[in-house]
Amino acid sequence: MRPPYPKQFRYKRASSLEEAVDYVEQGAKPLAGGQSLSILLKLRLAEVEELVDIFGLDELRYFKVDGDVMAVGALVVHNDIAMAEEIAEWAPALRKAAWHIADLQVRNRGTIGGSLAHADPAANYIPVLVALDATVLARGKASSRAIRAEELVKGPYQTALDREIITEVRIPKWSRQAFHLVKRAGASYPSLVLAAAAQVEDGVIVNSRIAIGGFYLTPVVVKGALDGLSVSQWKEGVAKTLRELPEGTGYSDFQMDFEKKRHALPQALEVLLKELAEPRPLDLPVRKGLTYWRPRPGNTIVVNGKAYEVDVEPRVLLIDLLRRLGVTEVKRGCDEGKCGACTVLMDGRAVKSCTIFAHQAIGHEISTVKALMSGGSLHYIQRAFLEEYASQCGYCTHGFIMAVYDYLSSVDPKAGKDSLKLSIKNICRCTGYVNIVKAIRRAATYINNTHSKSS
Amino acid sequence: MVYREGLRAVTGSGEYIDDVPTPQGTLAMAIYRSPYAHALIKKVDLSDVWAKGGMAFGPQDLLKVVKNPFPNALGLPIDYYPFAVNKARFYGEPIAVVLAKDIYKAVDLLDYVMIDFEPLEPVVKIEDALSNRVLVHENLGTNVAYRRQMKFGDVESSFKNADYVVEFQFKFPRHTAMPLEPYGVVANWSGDELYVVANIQGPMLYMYFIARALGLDIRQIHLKTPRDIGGSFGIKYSLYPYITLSAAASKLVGRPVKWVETRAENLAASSSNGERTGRVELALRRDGRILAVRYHFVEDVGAYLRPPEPGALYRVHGNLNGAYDIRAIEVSHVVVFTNKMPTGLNRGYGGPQFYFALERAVDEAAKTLGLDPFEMRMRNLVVEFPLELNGWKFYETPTGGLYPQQNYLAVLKALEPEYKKWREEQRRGRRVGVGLAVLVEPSGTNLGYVDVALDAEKRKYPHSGAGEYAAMWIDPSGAVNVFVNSTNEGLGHETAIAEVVAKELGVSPDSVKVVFHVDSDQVWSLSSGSYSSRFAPVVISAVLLAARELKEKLAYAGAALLGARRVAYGEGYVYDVDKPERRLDIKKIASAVHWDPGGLPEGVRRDLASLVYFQPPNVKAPSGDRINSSATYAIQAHLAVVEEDDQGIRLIKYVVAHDAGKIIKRELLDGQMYGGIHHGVAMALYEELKYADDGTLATQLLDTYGTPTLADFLDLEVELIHFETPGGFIPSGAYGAGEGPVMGAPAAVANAVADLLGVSIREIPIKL
Repeated sequence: MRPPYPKQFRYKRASSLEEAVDYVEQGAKPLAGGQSLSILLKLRLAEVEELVDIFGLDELRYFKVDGDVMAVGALVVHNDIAMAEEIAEWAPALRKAAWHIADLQVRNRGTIGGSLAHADPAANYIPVLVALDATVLARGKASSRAIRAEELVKGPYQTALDREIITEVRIPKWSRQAFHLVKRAGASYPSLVLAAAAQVEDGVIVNSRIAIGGFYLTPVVVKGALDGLSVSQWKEGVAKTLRELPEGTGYSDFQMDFEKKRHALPQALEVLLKELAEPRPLDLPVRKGLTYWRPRPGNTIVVNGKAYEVDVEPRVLLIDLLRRLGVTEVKRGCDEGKCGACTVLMDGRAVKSCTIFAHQAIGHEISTVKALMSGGSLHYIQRAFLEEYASQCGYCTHGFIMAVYDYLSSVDPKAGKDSLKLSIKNICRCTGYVNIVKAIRRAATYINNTHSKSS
Repeated sequence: MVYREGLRAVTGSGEYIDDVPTPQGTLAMAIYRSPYAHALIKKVDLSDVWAKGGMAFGPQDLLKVVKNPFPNALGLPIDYYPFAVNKARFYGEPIAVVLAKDIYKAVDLLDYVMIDFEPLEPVVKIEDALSNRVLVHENLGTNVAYRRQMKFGDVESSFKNADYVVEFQFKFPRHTAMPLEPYGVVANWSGDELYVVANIQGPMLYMYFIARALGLDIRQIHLKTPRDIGGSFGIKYSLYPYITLSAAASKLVGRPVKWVETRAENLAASSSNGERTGRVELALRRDGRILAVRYHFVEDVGAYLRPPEPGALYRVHGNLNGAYDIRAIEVSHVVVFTNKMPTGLNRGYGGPQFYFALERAVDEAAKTLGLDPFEMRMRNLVVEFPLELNGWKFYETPTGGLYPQQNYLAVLKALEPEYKKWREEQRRGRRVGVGLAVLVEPSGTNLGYVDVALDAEKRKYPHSGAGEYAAMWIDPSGAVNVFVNSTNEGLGHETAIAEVVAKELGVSPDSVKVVFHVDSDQVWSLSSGSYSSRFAPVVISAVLLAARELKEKLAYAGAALLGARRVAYGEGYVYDVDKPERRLDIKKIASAVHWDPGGLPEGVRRDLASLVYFQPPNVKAPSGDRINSSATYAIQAHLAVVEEDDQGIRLIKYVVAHDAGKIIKRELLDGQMYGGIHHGVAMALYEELKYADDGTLATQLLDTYGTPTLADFLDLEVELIHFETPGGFIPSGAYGAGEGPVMGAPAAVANAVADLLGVSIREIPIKL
């Protein structure tokens, strides 16, 4: 119950992959988006001597089709995986997994390589990549190597990596894929993460892999259980998968113990394999292009248009720097990067300022609601929140407005139900969310009216 | 008019405790807290903190400033200090404080606090407490703080003559409504006077506790709240131990001190409701009429009995018959200590637990009798209000409550179409569960209810605090200024007051300035504060009376200025009744009175100010075991519809029909009700403060506490059906409505799940 402020550490920013690999060889821990690591450091569940920030290395952001494999750069953020046309086409299960990661703010910062290296037992990607039989490229000082996804994770938060940085994920093509997770609702992490991949020829499955995360201490894979069946024989598929499921050490989390998971597994597999049989198109937007994060040179951060020198310890969180600068509209509501009250825009993307160290923001532009108000008049999202009485105590409001701003401008201007549900998971304790949802919908109509007027 | 609090919120310009400018030289405080639920403190060594350049104080240092323990409602000899002395009694109990120039440094220095503990076996469960094998307070010789039994009406013969007796056993969890903004305090001394800014919720009764603990007179304390408070829901009622602790640290270090709580500290060591187990017995007639009810409640108040506890058992004392005409009631209470966080107010104080027990039992009774739960309730609702008092009609409950006349049947009937619709869906084979709950929401607490915990002969003084001051004056520009010594934690009170005053005086809301925060240097009453939904019945009544007095003063001055014999006030003007075209607006009168008071004739009062104290009628000290525990009571009927999928239970529809008297501002009322439903649903399906077997808190993160996010409420359709029957016995005519939803939702959702699964739900949260 120690207040969540991290211990002192050293911080370096890598300007190239080579430099990053050198630091890692010397013992520094790579910091990508830091959406998990920063929280462990705050809660003092992890300690580091030195961090090397690799998040600005845009050379690790790409999608490339290379024969029958798609190569994904390790620093592609979750939101780009969720929304990229390339992924929707090639790896729909990975797309769905990405959409189900935390919320928009986490997806803006979290990276596929970072998630794999962190190896959280509840992580969404690992079972998918295991099912898709993906390969991870890891770069060390002396050499590079390829690690099969199913051999990467050695235990909760443990991987086969040894002073290496993940640079790329290589995904083969499968004709059928599915993803499903079991999560006890609320702010909790998923308890079971399931993925399936199948090659189908003439209606018959000729190769199949089903991976389950969160069930045993490491993700488990069942190979070939569906082979010889047709995709519509999902009932037999469930039975065969359960029969062929290897033994393992059960993993209990706070929401579900292993017994409950075992009880829930058949139904979850059923949902998964039904989806494999009848893929339902996701009602979620796609877009072209990638988000780049290379910082501008210099030692300043720009806050609402004004540049500030950053002269704080590396461990100081962005939220604290901002508040010391008088930007007190940014609020702290939890210890774990969940409530979203601290949300600000970083280069136009919503991020949680309590999960980012101030030094990570050097060379970037931070905006709060003050930057949205042109000439002192209310932005349409502010107006919608005011008109719908979408605030009561007002403590969460700023974070909501910033998250909704990014959601409506970069994710889904129509505020479709599914994208909203998977994007905005900020916490409010007063409104019961009813008027906030109304305000988001109203704001969406304001944008769409503006668009139709201008066109 | 513009929603004032909303404008501050959307522009990021609210001022909360962590935003308040601090005096020069303010130190950040971090608290060293007990890692054990129960342990002897053998030795406290803080020398390393000092050696590292920090400052630290342990129990023996703090005791030099904190001279007295906090009192408790039962007068038990337990030493409740804001820090553990000799023994830590709950996980997270403060033991020492560390001060440094910034919070990062202060937190680092916690590593250098050296304490030798001798861990003791903790008392975690209610059964452990009752066994008395291990004691939380050795000097009491027992973990049972208190037992009390009371009877109203002819309980024995009602049970003897009953066709059926239904017994329902239940357990209600520890829950915190968890305001998103945690606690915060800035404490500073000037000579022997203490200046505090803290996000406390009230009531001002707590000035006494802080003064007594620090050995000060009340006049030496200057307590303020920031303009904005980030939610409270009763939790911030229990902030005073931390105010005392921060003040003591500030005194010892000789510098201003700032402390801001973090989320884990808030979940572990601020406040919550107590866990309750117990049973309800209903004596039933074959036709469904409830003849009598027996309650047996065992309440776990944690490590200390913190005022107003055991009030969770008494807040509902006047309405123990719920919305039903039940004439015989027996209640037995057992209050136990455990090694857990001390309890206190949590939205709906005592109501969610009580109505969960009663309304689940009513469903069980309906099942036993083969009656539809809707019909069962229709047959029992209060329909007659025969008692005339203060020009209004009331139903007098066996326990002393006075329910103002309302049409309970019509309110429940309003749910019937929706209820039938879902029953029809079920008949068509859709797998849904439908649940009901009906209740009366008590609002405008009578602080005297806590006294009922004591036998009548043990009560030293009568108590009936419930009232509020409203101060109002007109400044030289003609603007109306209103001040209420209360707190703004998201209730929209500034907006509501501005609108009510503007309407009463016939002026624009833009010309009404409202100052609404705690300032103990201004006029206050013991009951001042925002709690128990007292704003609508009490505060607005005081504000209306102050506005009416101001109108009279304007009329006097206006008559003198007009030289009129007879004047009247209307729509912002004082006019000559004989020549209505001769009139003066407030601006002109204010200007004349402020700038040229000498110009008014002798004998005319020159003030344009009013100060009114309104105590709601019918609110008196208890008489024997009976008390009208609230100023008003309002009917609410709830309907919940649930489904099940592979992620668990999903709530898909929630409807509340209710009558809260006059509606002051519908948008704000709706918002309070939506929020209350959300908290009740969180209790029923999501959140619980869970303790491990060793007494440490297992739910220190939002992840484990299970807090619902926006995404969880996106599929839920909420509907409110408002009835509006203004209550003629109070000036506002309005009753509270912000707590009824949280009182009814746990029961309605549990009833819906029981309906869906065909099992009895005895515990929440329901997690399949």
